[in-house]
Amino acid sequence: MLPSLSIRKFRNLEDLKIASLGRINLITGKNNTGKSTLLEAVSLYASRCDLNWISQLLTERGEYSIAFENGLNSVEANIKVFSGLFSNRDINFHETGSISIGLIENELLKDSIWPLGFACIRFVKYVEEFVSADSTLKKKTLIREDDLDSVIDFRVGLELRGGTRSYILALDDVRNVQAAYKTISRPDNFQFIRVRNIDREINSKLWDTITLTEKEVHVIEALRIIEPAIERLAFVGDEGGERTAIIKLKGDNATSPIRSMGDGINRVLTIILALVNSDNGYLFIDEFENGLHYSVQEKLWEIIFKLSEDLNVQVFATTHSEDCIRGFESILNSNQNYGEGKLIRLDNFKGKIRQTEYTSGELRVAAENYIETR
Amino acid sequence: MPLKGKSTKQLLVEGKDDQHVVWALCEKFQIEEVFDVIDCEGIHNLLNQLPVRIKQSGIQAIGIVIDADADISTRWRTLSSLLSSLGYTVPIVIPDEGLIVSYNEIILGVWIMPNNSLNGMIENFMQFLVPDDDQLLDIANNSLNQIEGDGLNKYNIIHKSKALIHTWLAWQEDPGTPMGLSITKRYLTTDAEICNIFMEWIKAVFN
Repeated sequence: MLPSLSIRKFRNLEDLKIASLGRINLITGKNNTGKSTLLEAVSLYASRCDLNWISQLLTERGEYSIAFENGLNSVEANIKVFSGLFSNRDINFHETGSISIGLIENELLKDSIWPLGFACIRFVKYVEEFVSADSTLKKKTLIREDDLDSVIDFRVGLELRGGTRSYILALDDVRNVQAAYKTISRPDNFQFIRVRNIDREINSKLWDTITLTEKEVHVIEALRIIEPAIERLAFVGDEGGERTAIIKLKGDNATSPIRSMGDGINRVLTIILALVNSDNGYLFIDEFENGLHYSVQEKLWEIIFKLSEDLNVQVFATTHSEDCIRGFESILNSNQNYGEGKLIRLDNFKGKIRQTEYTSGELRVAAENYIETR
Repeated sequence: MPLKGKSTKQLLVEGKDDQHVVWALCEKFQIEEVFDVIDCEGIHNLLNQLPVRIKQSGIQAIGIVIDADADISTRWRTLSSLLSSLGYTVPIVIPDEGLIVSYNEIILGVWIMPNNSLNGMIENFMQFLVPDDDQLLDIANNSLNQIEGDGLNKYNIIHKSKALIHTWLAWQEDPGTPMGLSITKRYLTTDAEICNIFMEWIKAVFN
């Protein structure tokens, strides 16, 4: 669990510091203030700069389509694609140009926390050298900071550091990059639900991982927020094909596909399946309120507050909705022994994104007195 | 219930009377109401809300009008430590013309009724607005002194100025006119110097 958050040079978040995070963090703010970007930044941290995940993030933002249409050579195209991660698409080989995401830097603890405390991405110049005279093994050596502007003979790469891993991706060959995607496995310590994910293709797989565990019960209970008569849930379909969720209602012999029941219940299923599959990790929900009636939102928050504590999941969600914040506040201040929740608003202040943090006490005052927090 | 205070400029007051007095004065002085006047329902609530209201998105200016009550220095001490905790640099004593400070490009104004130096409340401020040629205020005051002397007063002595202004208002053309309306109806004048100072403070906070 991240206790605080510092994001540098990642997309429109040039330098954002959030002094304290909670178990559940609700992010609000106007359009284009970087709410989803904040979620992506933390997911990047959680993935320890996993290349497959980075590739998905770039695909989501359409970065690949723009890069390969202009007849650029592969290095240029790769640089262009990855520059989409950086603030102002800045291509800077110096240390200062690095994206870094992690806890707020504490100078005293810096050495002991790094590298676990940070995820860093930057463009690098390097040379490839044989490890020893008789070896076929090559090693990438970064060009020293002082020599960056004077060295002529170099290759260009992308350095990815996260967790205990540090890796230089050569950008001079598309095949290189594609091969690298395949060698690194998709991280499984977080789930990311996007705005349009009313249901997700992977729902059936997520269900498989929890079948016959007590997490099954959590899922059914969550679905009952919307349809109290739900008794059982299963995923059915052709072998190899996509399987869909069906449910059985109490006192009813027939089953019906859950997709026939509207967006709300499908969204709840997607969220709850993601949550119970994020143990000891992170859950990201973009636009929490999507498809959900306000009365459902509060009940869903209650389940999320309870389960995230039990399963040790840190939750990051975005919202535009006052109802969503009200439901969040009401559960946060319900005197249950739930984990701490924070509301964080992002504002664009003269071109820089700034954050405002609300504690549970401040949220209570805002709710009681009808004060806008969005 | 709709959200209270949509404007990015907000004046927080302790009660309905204060709210109506401000509205009436603004009308008299032809000050464009570019700000919301928000009834926070008591000093406690007002001070609780201040830190949350200052965090609102895009907020530009917040003014607060509160009563000094029994001891203005105690009131100012409480307030100035709250303002310091919010990042504002405040003087040891509140200026006579009201306080105006700025932090993070958010202007914060403070006015302590009646005049930033005396103990008392908005009702004391209203007494300043009683016309010079009035003869009823003295009589009302004497009456209050008399019932207090006889132990007949049911109000707490702290609220004497409230009792006084409302007694006086009860003796005007339309008995029972509330304070704000009594400005509009010209029972009270707005010629007093203190009135000007107050309105200058409002203009300075919200422009």
